[in-house]
Order: sequence, then C-alpha cells, then structure tokens
Amino acid sequence: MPITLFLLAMILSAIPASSQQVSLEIEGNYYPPGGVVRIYGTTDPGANISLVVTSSLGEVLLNITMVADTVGNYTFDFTLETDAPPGIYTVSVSIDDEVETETFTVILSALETLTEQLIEVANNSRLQVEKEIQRLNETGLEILGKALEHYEEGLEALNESLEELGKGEFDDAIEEAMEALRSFKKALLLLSVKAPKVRGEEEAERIRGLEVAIERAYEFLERVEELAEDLMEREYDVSDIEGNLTEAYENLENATMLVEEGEVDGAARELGEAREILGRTWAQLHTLMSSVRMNRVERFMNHTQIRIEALKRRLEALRDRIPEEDVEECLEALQNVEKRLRRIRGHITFGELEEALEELEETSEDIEEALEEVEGRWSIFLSEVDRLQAKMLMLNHTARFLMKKGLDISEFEEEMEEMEDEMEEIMERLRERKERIEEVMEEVIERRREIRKNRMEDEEEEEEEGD
Amino acid sequence: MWSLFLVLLALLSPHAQQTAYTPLELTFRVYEDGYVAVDYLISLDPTIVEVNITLFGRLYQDLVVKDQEGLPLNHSQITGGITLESLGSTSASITYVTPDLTNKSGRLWLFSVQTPISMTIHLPEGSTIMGFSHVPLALTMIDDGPLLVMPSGSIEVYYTLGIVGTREHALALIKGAEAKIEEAKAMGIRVDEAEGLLEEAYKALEDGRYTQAETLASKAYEEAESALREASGAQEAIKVAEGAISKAREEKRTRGLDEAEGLLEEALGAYEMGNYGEAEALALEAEKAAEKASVPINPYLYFFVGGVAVVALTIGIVALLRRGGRERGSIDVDTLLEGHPHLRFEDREVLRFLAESGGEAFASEIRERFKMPRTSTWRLIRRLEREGLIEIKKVGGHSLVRLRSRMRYGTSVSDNPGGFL
Repeated sequence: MPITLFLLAMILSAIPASSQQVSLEIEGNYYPPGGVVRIYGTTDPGANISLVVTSSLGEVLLNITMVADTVGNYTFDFTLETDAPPGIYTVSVSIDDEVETETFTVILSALETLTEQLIEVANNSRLQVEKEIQRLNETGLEILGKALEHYEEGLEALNESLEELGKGEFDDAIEEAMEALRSFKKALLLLSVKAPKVRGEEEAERIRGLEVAIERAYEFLERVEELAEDLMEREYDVSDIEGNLTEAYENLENATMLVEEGEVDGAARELGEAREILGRTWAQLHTLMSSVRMNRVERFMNHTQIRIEALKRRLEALRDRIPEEDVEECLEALQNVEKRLRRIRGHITFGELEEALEELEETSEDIEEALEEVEGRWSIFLSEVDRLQAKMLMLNHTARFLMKKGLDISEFEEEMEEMEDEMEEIMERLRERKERIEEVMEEVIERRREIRKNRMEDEEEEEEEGD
Repeated sequence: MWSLFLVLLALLSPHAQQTAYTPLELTFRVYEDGYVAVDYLISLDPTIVEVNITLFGRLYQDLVVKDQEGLPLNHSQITGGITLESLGSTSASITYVTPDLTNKSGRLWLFSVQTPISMTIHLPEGSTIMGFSHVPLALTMIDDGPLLVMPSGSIEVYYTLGIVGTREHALALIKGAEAKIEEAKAMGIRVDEAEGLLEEAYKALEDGRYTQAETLASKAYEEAESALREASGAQEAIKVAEGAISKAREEKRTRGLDEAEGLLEEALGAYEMGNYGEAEALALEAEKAAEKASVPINPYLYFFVGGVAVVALTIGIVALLRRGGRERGSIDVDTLLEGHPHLRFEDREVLRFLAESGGEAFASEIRERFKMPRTSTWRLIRRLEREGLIEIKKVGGHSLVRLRSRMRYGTSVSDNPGGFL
C-alpha cells in the first residue's frame, strides 16, 4: 500500500521534462519526539520537488510538493508529533525519476543522555578488553598484535568521543563511541580465541545454566497457572491442574535450593521432574482448550452473522447510488454466505469441530471476497466520495471567504469546477457500469497529466511574453 | 486533493488487502545460557479464521498464545512461525523461549534478530555490551542487566558475560575444593588447614563477597592438593623404609636396626599428626638406617667358645694328670705284648702309644697320632677292648681310651698271668 501511494504521488507530480538532479540533507541524525527535523538540499531553480516523510511504522507522515527557490535551494522543517513512535524514519525527495533518500532516528532518551550512556558502554567494553589482556599476560600466552591494534584504535575513538561530547557535538560523539565499540569488539574476539578457561569456569557455567533453566521453568509454570486461573474463572474444571502445579512448584523449590548449594546433579533431577509435570499439565490444559475453542468458533459465527446483517442494511441504503444488479449480486453473495454459516453451525451442533473449522476456513476467503465487494469496494468508494464532496464544499466556503478579503480566486474557482465536473462524470459512468473503476482511474490520471502539460505550456508562454 | 482522491481509489484495487495481523510490541529477554524469551503482542483482524504469524528463531519452547481476554488460542507450528486460529480475536499475546537468536564465539555473545517493529532487549545481569549494529533508541543500565530499545530491521547486539567474581564461579570453586578435601580425607589424610579455608569461603559466599570466596576456595583447594601430594610422598617413603627394615631382618642384619625402627615409629607418628613432610624425612632416615644395619655376632658363639675353652682346659688338666700318672708307674708294654702274640701290628703300636701316654689317650688323639679314619680307629679300639687290654671312659663328651688299671700302675704283665683283666 505505501508503495502504491508513493508511485501514485510520483505520477501525479510528474512534469514531463528531462530528468533533474536533486540533493538531500538532514540536519542531525537523532531527534526526540516533538523535535523539528530540518530537511534541505539543492536542485534546479524553480523545480518542483516531491517530499515524503515515512515513519518507522511505514506510515506516510508528510507528502508534499515544494518549489526550489531561485538559486535551487529548498528547506523544510518537519515537526515530529510529541507521541511520534521511535525508530528509523525515511525522508525521500524526488524530481522526475530522480530520487534521493536519507534517514533519521527518533530516539526515546534525550540526545545528550544517550550520548553519555553510549560512551559509558564503550568505556565498559574497554575495561573488558583490558581484563582479557591482563589475563593473557598472567598466563604467559602470546597476545596477537592485531588485537592490540584494535584496542588502540578503540582507545583513540573513545577519546574522540569524549572530546566531541565536551563540545556538545552529540551526533559526532555517538559516531565515535560506536566506532570505539566496534574496535573493542574486534579486539576481544581475537583475544578470547586464545584465552584459556579459568579454573571452575565450566562448572560455573553449568551452575548458571541450571539456574536460568529453573527460572524459565518457573516463568512457564506461572503462565500455565495464569491460564488455569482464567479458565477457572470461566468455570472450567481445573482441579487436576492445580495439584500438578503445586507439585511442580515443590520440585522447582528443591531444585533452587540444591543449585544454590552447588548440587548440580540433584538440581537437574528436580528440574527434570518439574518439567515432566509441566508437560503433563500442559496436555491437560489442551484438553480444556478444546471447549474454549468451540466457544470461540461459535462466537466468531455470531459476529459474522451480525456483520452480514449490518451489510445487508447498508446495501439497502446504497440501493439508489450503485447499480441495481450490483446490489442484487452482493445480496445473493451474502445469502450464500449465510447458507454456509448454517451448515457450519450444523457441524458444531454435532461436535464436529474440526469439520466446522475446515469449512469455516474454506469459506473465509469467500466471505472476505463477498464482504469486500460490498464493504470494501463500493462502500469505501462511496464513503470517500462523500468525504471528498464535503471537503470540496469546505474549500468552496474558504474560497468565498478569501474573495471577501479581496483575493483573486478565479483560477481556483476554475479548477474547482473542473474537479466537480470530472467527479460527476466518474460517478455517472460508474453508476452505468460502463467500465471498471481501474480503467476510470487510468483515464483520470491521463487527464490530469494533460492538464498539467497544458498548464506548463501556458506558464512558459507567459514567461516568454514577459521577456 | 486530486492526489489523495486517486490514492484512495487505489485502495479499491481487488489486490489490496488488509494485513491479517499488525505487530504492536516486542520484547526479548536474553538469559545467561543464550536462550531468549520472546514476548510478542500483535493485533488481529477479527474477521479472519486463521492467520500465519512469523516468529523469531526456529525452535519455540514453552509456547503460549493468548487472546485479548487471556484465553488460550489454538495454534500449530509451521516453518518460521505458527498458524494461529484467531477466530474473531482482536489481539494475541505470544510468549516462548528459543535458543536460536544467540551465538557464542570465544567470550563474545551475539544476539541477532530481524523484526518488523522496534523492540526492547533485556540482556543478562552482569553482561557488558560490546557493540550494536544500530544506535539504540534508548539505553538503560538496570540492576538485572542492560535494557535496550532498538529500531526495527536486522539488529545485532554483541555482549560478554563475566564469570570471575560471580556467585556461580565462587560456588564452583568451593565445590571443587570440597571435593578435593573429601578425596584427601577418604585416604585418611588430615586437611585441617584446607577445611578452615573452605569454611571461610562459605562464609564469604553467604555474605555476597564472591571475589573473596573465590580466593579462599582456591587456597583451600591448593592446600588440600598439597596435603595429598605430601601425604602420598610420606606414604611412599614409609613403605620403602618398612621394606628396608623387613629386608634387613630377613638378612639377619639386626645390628643398628632398632634405630631404623625407632625412626620409622617417629615417621608414623608424624604422619598421624598430619606432618607429612616431617614423616617423609623421618622415613627416609629410617630407610638409610635399615640399609646400614649389619649382622650381629652370634651369642651362642660365646657359649661355644666358652665351652671349647672349658674342654681344652679339661683336656689340659687330664693331660697333666696323665703325665703325672705316667710318672708314678711305667708300663711294660713288651711284656704285655708277649702275652698277646696275635695282636696286629697297629694294635701293638696303639698299645705302645697308650703306654707312652701315661696309659691313656683320647680316641681323637689316637686317630690324630696314627692318621686313621674314625671308623678304623674305633674298630681297633673295640678289638683291644675285647682283648681286655683297654677300657673306654667318656670324659666331657670325648672317649678316653685307657689301658686296663693292672697294667697301668706298677704292675707288670708278668704279675698278671692270664694277660689282662
């Protein structure tokens, strides 16, 4: 969808002339929500530039056309919403086929704070590398020259980062801190390949691994318990499950005590027993989940039925505005859907849940298609037509207001009339079902291009006359 | 405005569909062993029956999917995710654990994931960040590990996990020391000092002084190991000393052996007290002493020598007496021999010898005088005894051969017609 939008925006903004160059810059890389992003660049003087800003969620936040000044510069200050989602945002400028893209990042912390934190992270990583170097020195093992090289590079970058922070150049400080991290990481990778394990390291890792495995088992147990409680509130019988969970808790408590004492084998045994109980309990829950599933299917069926009823009502309301045969076609499609729903209910009544689900899955596409035909295609179209008509009405009011202020709105009025005529024509043709919507759209796009071309030629003629 | 209108028309394209789900929130909790807990909240299209959800990683353990009301949602696993039976649900909360999002190389861990929305990553406690692919949107260092907010896309975070100075490492070292101490005690070795250090290590662990606990546990281990080594050395030396002493005894080299035994006794005492170095040194000395031990002079030899001296004295006295006897009366052997003309030559000679020796001599003297074998000497003596010419008397275990008395003391044979008595 965003790609479609983007392509359309490009087509609409197209000036049929030779390809032009454009540059794009963004002041700074990191912004907080609510911040102002300065976007600027250069292109040919007077060129029409399309500017699009897309959020980290893929949402188009800005899609405008601007005109470069007489020397070809352009600037735009884009203000982020105060609740702008964090992440990487994309800025694109385009002229004809020429597109330039840059990114900036919306961060959650203040920039200075983030910079200081990153420098601290880089410093901690330096300490890690030094610790490893010391350990290798103590064991008398050779330290690779390349590792020391990377370490030195990291030190240099870290110092640079601190300097930039001192100057308030946060972006540069961040870049240097990231560079320092990269170097220290490379150094550690080379150093740790050679370094032998310390005495007790393997056993310590084993203890640690067991501790976190116990922790995970506890977390899973709590989730299972939560599920059981929810089911119990809905009056499902979970009495067997409660007993199992108590037993599993005891095993995990024993495992915790044993691992704290370093009794790894005993702890592993207790954990194994707890896991076995949890596996059994989960299987029991699955049995209960079948009836939850059944209820869910019934609920879904009910919602679908309600939707169909609502759509039928809408269709009746649209009867005057869309072709009769389309209304009948949609109503018939909905009736077929209802028949299938009744069949599916039959399966549910006989407890044939799998058959019900299978049929439901098969008909879901049919339902979507039928509903889209009614709900999506016509309904959205007509809703948007209504919305646009409301907007045109508003613009008309605005134009009248400006006229009263003494501004010349003749050109604008001309354009408005043209748009109204075109819209009416489109509606007529669609009502008569002379052609499909897509074909109409293509024609409109072509018509728009012609209007643009004519306007450009008019402007050039005016300029020549002016000269 | 026209742009917007046409854009909206694009919405009507039959191929334009709403996505079945929209990611809302995503959190990763990284554990120390590389497993990652995923917490994923998505919104769902309530009009669809089921939807395929792309998840992160390939293995999904402890997978729980709940709807907006907290009820479980049915699902089945597919490659790269799950098929969720949404059936009218408006949102789903998906939680699971996977080992697939981390990788370790040397000491460096890498967490990597590709996500459609920005995410929160909670790294393990005690981890040190060593790098990111992107600048974090937010970064917080909290007690139980660094917390990062990262943008969407392909994200990598590098980190290390310390071992030294952690509770786990201290505990591992303590357990190692404990095992060593038990090993020593099972062999009867005293490890008092090691046990003391171990107790202190446990105390430090309880107090949360992990680095100190590590140091104490390491010392306890080394102490126990040292005791094992020394005890082993002492045992060996004691065994060798015992062997040397046994050998000396077998070879009857008992002179000076008591010293060796004394030293060995001391070595055993030192061992019992746990002074293994001292025990080994004493055992070595005992071994040397045992090797130096020599065979003593036999006490019976003294008796034998004494006895021989007594016999010699007796013989001397007897010989003196015999000499005296010889002087009191001489024996006329010729006349004696005339009375026994049938005697052999050697018999006559022995008689003459006896006569010349005061009338008596030991059998051994006769044998010695005439260089006769023992058996021949006794046959001769028996012949003369049968002839009535001599008598045999036992003196000090030796046979004294004596001319009959009437022949010895001033009587001649002629005075004794009939030969001898």
